[in-house]
Amino acid sequence: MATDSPRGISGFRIVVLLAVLANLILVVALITQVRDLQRRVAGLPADLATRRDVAALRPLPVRQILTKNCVACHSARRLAVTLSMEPAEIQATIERMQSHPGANISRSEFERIAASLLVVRCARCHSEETLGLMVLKTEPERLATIRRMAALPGSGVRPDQASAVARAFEDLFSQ
Amino acid sequence: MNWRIRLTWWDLTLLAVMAVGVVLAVVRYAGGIATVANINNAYPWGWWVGYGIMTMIAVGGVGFTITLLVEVFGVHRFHPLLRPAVLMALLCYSGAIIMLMVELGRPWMVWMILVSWAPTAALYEVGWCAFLYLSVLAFEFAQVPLEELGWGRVLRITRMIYMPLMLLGVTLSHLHQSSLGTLMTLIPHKIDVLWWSEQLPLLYLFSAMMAGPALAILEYLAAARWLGFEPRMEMLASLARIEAWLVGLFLAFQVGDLVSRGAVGAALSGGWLALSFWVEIGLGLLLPLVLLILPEVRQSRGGLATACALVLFGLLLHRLNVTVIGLRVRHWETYIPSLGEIGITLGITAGAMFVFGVLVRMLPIHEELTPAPASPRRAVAPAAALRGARGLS
Amino acid sequence: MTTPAQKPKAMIQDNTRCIGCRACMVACKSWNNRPADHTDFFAGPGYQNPRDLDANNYTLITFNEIVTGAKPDWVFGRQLCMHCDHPACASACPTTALTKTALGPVVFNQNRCIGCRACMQACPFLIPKYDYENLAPLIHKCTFCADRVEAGLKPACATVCPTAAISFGDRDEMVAEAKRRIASAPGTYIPEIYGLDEVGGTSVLHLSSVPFDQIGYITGLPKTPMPDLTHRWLRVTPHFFALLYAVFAGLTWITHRRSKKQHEGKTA
Repeated sequence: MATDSPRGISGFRIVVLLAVLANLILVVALITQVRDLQRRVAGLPADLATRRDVAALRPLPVRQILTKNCVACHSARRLAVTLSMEPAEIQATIERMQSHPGANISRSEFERIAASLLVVRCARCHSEETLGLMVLKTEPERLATIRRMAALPGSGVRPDQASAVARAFEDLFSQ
Repeated sequence: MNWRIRLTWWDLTLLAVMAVGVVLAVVRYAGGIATVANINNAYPWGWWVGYGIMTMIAVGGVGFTITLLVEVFGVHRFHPLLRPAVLMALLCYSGAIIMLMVELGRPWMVWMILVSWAPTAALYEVGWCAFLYLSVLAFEFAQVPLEELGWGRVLRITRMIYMPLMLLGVTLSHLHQSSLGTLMTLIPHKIDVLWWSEQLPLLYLFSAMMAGPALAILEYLAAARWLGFEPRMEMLASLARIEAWLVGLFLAFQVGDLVSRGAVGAALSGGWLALSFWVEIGLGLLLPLVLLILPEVRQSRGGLATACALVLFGLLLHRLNVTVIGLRVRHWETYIPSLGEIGITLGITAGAMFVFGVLVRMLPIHEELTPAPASPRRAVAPAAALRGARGLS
Repeated sequence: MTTPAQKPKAMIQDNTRCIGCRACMVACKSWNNRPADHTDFFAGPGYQNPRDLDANNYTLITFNEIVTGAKPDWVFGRQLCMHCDHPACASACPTTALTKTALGPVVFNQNRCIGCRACMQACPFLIPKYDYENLAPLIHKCTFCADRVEAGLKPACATVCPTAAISFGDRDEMVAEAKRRIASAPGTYIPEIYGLDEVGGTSVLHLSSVPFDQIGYITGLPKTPMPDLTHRWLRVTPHFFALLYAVFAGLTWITHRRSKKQHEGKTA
């Protein structure tokens, strides 16, 4: 009647067997996870949204603001005179417009019209859609971008105006 | 019957634990559940149900498992384990009933189950089956003292109905062990995805089957050391090999079920629940499987005892995980078993162990200890049922 | 008891009309003779008090601060027993202490309760509560004022609500009314009636202006009755029993014959 085996219990064999079985279970688990992932990736739509799709969700309202407030009296080409103005001059111009008879420019709109006119000078090079991509950036990122643009020759924006333009974007995006 | 039993220090310890349990039970009845237990509205079932009912009934599966092996499948070399198994099952179920008397809010109404008709309620089936099975177990075990007392005529009658009752007991066990799992299938939204499964009834049934041989081996080794006989290691090694299969199959079942439910991600995520799951699988199934696979462990007392204890631990953790730990509650709702709850369950466990210890010294439960026939009247021919040490083995 | 003319009832809880006055909570406690209790203010979200349903509070107004547009606002929700058409609590009760009545309420019969608390585990809405401090504890939940409904009255909460946020009537009328409200004011309501299909249909229909999971409701519940989950196992119990018994009896007979032959062989 043998009680304890004379060989003794090999701890090594226990550890090896444990490792093998545990790994077997983990392999099964891993395979199921990978297959699940493959299935999910295969189920993704072929056309994913691009950055422009996302930006289009919150477009720049420049066109609407200027059309509503300015183009009723002026032609759009008259607005081009603001392209070379300082931000303070733009403000003064809009206030002068307010005093004209028939102009329905509400006070709260002043900021947004000024912002729109500042942003419009970027249209010298960029399209409306490209400017709309600015919504995806953070404020510091926008400022850095505008400074970079201002440094380019023929940009129409001086480096010291960069922060005013950045603030203009911010105003237009936050409604 | 050996009436002269000396109480050892272990008996006295058990009696002391029982006394503490009794005191706590009195407090529970005098002051209400809230005075001893931490169970609350978020956790209506706690340690008492998780351990005292779910695990105790599962562990009581040792009765039907060994009976299946020996009486139904005819594997006679495990015969020495039969009587201890039946006695342990009887004590486990009695313990679970006592636990129920403490755990129920209105235990004086428990008879209401017997006069109700609620076939949609899993607990109804559990209650009836457990009640009937307890009677069958008592009947099965009664053969032993009847034999000792030499009541030949009564014995002849009982032996005639032994076979159908034994079969009834084994069948009933399958029903209520799985119904404990059916009970928990009702709440998929409340049990964490790691443990809820449509197969919970089968998981519960198989885990009870897995626990049976483990407890039988553990008890045999403990009895051999305590009562001073040489354990038949060949028999244990053979049973351990069967147990290895049971553990392996259950592990495959549980992991396979986890995979098929798509819950692998939850198991691989961090958190306490995933940790509890891996402890249950690793310590409760993987490690004992590894131990039981190795022949040198099957031949060694210490190795077998460790492996079987781990299996029982895994069973307890599984039941706790499903019933308590894996319960989804709101973030402010917590539950830790109180000392009162633990004290009462320890008292019940100690009580079962004490009665077991006394009975194995009083009656010929372990074949290795059966003395020569004490009185000449005991010449009743052993029938097919409960063959003693003489005859076939 | 119930005249054939009385059809099953339902309740509409219109959270867009709720002002959080909690008159329903007071009326409920009053009608059900529940005692006042000490609570911890601010234990839950906002001014919600008490934080949860319990043995003394069968209904609860949840206070939720939801930001709609630019400003936060209070949106109220209500927790109460949904009186499901296929109640999980009733199916889980081993003594049939909880039953669904013809008029709609799921009622609790304390003379049958053994205190097993299976109903508490089973309920998908986490409604039944227990008074563990009591020496003879009971399950506590909204009764739908079954006695009042039986007598042709409305439940206490529906009677006292000052803004008619709580409507009560025949179930088909209430369902139609709920749908009508959503259709007539789509900007006010989200197009969902909580309780219409949940767990196979309930007797309490909730309407809201915001998604229900934001105002303390349990969402993601299946649309099929919960008892189906256990029923599919329990209904094969007799077959399982007969099959197992037959199989085991057969096996026993075979093995016993074999061992008897062996025994005869040995002693021969």
